[in-house]
Amino acid sequence: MKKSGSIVIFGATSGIARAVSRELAKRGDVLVLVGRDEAALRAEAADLAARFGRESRVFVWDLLERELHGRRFADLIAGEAPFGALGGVFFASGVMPTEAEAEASPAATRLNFDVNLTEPVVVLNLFAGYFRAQGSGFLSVLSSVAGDRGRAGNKTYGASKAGLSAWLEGLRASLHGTGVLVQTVKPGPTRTPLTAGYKGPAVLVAAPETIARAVVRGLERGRTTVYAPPYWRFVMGLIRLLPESLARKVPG
Amino acid sequence: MTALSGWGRNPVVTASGIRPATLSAAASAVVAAPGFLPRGLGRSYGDASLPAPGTRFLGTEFLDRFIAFDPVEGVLEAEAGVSLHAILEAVVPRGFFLPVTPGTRWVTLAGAVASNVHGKNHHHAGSIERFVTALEVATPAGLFRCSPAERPDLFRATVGGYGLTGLITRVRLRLKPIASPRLRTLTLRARGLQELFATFRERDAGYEYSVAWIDTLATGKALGRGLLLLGRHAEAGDPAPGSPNEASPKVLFSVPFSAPAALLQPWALRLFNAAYYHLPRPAGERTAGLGGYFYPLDRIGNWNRMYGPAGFFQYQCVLPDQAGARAPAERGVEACLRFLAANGMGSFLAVLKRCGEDTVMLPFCRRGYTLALDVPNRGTETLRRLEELDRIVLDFGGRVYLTKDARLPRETFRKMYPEWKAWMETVTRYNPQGAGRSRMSERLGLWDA
Ligand SMILES: Cc1cc2nc3c(=O)[nH]c(=O)nc-3n(C[C@H](O)[C@H](O)[C@H](O)COP(=O)(O)OP(=O)(O)OC[C@H]3O[C@@H](n4cnc5c(N)ncnc54)[C@H](O)[C@@H]3O)c2cc1C
Ligand SMILES: NC(=O)c1ccc[n+]([C@@H]2O[C@H](COP(=O)([O-])OP(=O)(O)OC[C@H]3O[C@@H](n4cnc5c(N)ncnc54)[C@H](OP(=O)(O)O)[C@@H]3O)[C@@H](O)[C@H]2O)c1
Repeated sequence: MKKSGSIVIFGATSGIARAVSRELAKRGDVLVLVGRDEAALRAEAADLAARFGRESRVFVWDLLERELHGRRFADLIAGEAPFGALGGVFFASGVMPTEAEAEASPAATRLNFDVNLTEPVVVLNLFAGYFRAQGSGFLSVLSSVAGDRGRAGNKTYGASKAGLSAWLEGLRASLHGTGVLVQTVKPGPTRTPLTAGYKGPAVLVAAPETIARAVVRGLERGRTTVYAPPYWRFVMGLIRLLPESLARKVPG
Repeated sequence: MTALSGWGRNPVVTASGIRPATLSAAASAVVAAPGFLPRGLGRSYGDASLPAPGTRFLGTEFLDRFIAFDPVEGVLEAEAGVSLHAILEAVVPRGFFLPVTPGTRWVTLAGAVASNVHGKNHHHAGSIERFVTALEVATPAGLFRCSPAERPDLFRATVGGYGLTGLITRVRLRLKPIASPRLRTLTLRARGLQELFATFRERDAGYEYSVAWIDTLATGKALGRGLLLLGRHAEAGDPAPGSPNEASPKVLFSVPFSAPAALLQPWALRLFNAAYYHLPRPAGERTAGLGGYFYPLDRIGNWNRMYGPAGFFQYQCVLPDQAGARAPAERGVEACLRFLAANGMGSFLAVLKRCGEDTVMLPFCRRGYTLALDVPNRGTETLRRLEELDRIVLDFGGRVYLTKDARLPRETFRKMYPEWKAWMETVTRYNPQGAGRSRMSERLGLWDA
């Protein structure tokens, strides 16, 4: 993986992204923190500055302002030009409605697909073109183990993640041989504000720092799919083998 | 609903609560709808961090941002839930250390302030209160900044105030410059209590940090035998052999589940204590990392499970030097140790430290000694024994540390802490409805003031 060039953290206020930013800044990477809430982004930048003595850029870009993506992208690249090329993008924005919310509210269902799938694909395409032209860079994107199988408890969220994982697999194929790394990250349940309502066993919930270390290690080693913590690769491997009639009975 | 306990795993309660993602969300939750008890990393041993029925907890886990660090003055401003571990990782490489640290790095900054924690340097440096230059507190009466000069009433009621004035959202802390990430340590063996006191008196002037480990099962002439562990920060010129810089210490192993009670049989304790005392110790000063001296227990993950499913109590008391009397603190320590030995109340970890004076509204440390020990929970029998110990502590003008406590009877508390009423008057100025109650606050009858 190319170490030079700033790294864009898209959705930099996310619990997992915050841990990833810290892990990268500790290593010495320069970051561009992207999100929709400027004050919140500044708080993250201040954190990195105080912890590691690293200055980061803050860039406001709302995933749901879809007509503005082209302009935002151009501004971000132009603003970055004096500092050299971009090194990569880590993408973390996401929502997780409960099934009850999704079933009751068309708006919540649409928001789930917009934030988790449609807009990420549009935005990541812009960066993919940039890295393809540059002949280097990475796209590391938070999908989820929830996308590996359709499940009653999270069919809406899971479907958007399944779509995202499939799109990333296709993107990887299309960028094969260009020097660009496309990394699909599939965390299991992680302690962040997203899982405030999680009711499952506490031992299955990972710390965001664990996910962050797996992501950075995966980048350093050029891994295309990162399960975090790693045992989820094994668990999901088994669950994927189950016929639907049995998979239905796995709790959770 | 979540099951919650302190580090002693006793008592266990179920409560619901929130974990706000940002400072502003947390502050507005407390101000708009009072009724939250703050909770950090749950390293207080007893019920200080457990919500009373009707109260919800407010976990500070996501309030973990550094706000600013001035590397020239060594002043750090951070959100409530930043852990001491995170602070050490960031500041030790830049030549700073915590001015005061408890025996674990897994506590939050605000949790440390809310208990007014002390370290192995209390007799020289005092508690953390002396280094907190400003706080922001979200109280039911509003969001306030306070410091020793600005709203000193709120400041002195919140530091060592166990979360009852509201939620500490930000802390500004003055750090301590160090010339080296290493320590110079010296371990001295004392064959009995008088020798231990004499060693404390003679040796700890040259060392900023001191703590004694005591074999509480030793009797007769050996009563109070133990090891005195002294430490000071290394100077830039001190020899620095290969001892690793422990900015990120390794956990050597973790206790995977609750241990069976057999591990805690008296014979096991006796064996452990005798071995620890007799183990050969290098003579003379050595160089050590910060972690090994300050946080030896952090190397064993979940060591609290060692005490089995019923959990344990930690009993920590201070025995003060009272005006006029000759060394009553030492006599108080002796009386406590005699009681423990006579009742076979051994502890893996009984430690003795010297104390100076606290100045907050509900102070724990008084000039003298503080003794702390772990006591497995064996139900009413244990409670009765500890109440007898309370009486000895009271006779010597001492008090029990609330952040460790899960059982102190209300009447005993009131005798130990005559300041409690004045403190609660200030608390209720900022929290007029008495919202956000801990189990501890109800157990001790604090709201009756
Ligand atoms: C191994 C070990 C060694 C220890 N050694 C020492 C020692 O040497 N000296 C010492 O003094 N203590 C020591 N302690 C005790 C520990 O330092 C204190 O109990 C500390 O308060 C724990 O911090 P926490 O973040 O875990 O808080 P919690 O246990 O979660 O809460 C403790 C109290 O602080 C309040 N609180 C937490 N966060 C806030 C907030 N944001 N605003 C307002 N109130 C808040 C809670 O309501 C509660 O009353 C030790 C504990 C352990 C487990
Ligand atoms: N936590 C888990 O258990 C888990 C497990 C597997 C995968 N994941 C995935 O990992 C990613 C990060 O999750 P997390 O746990 O870190 O979640 P989080 O802390 O809740 O963060 C969610 C992020 O998404 C952004 N976001 C939410 N709604 C948005 C919207 N309408 N428009 C634009 N941005 C929006 C948030 O921005 P604001 O701060 O501005 O709201 C925030 O940056 C998500 O894709 C999630 O699906 C999480």
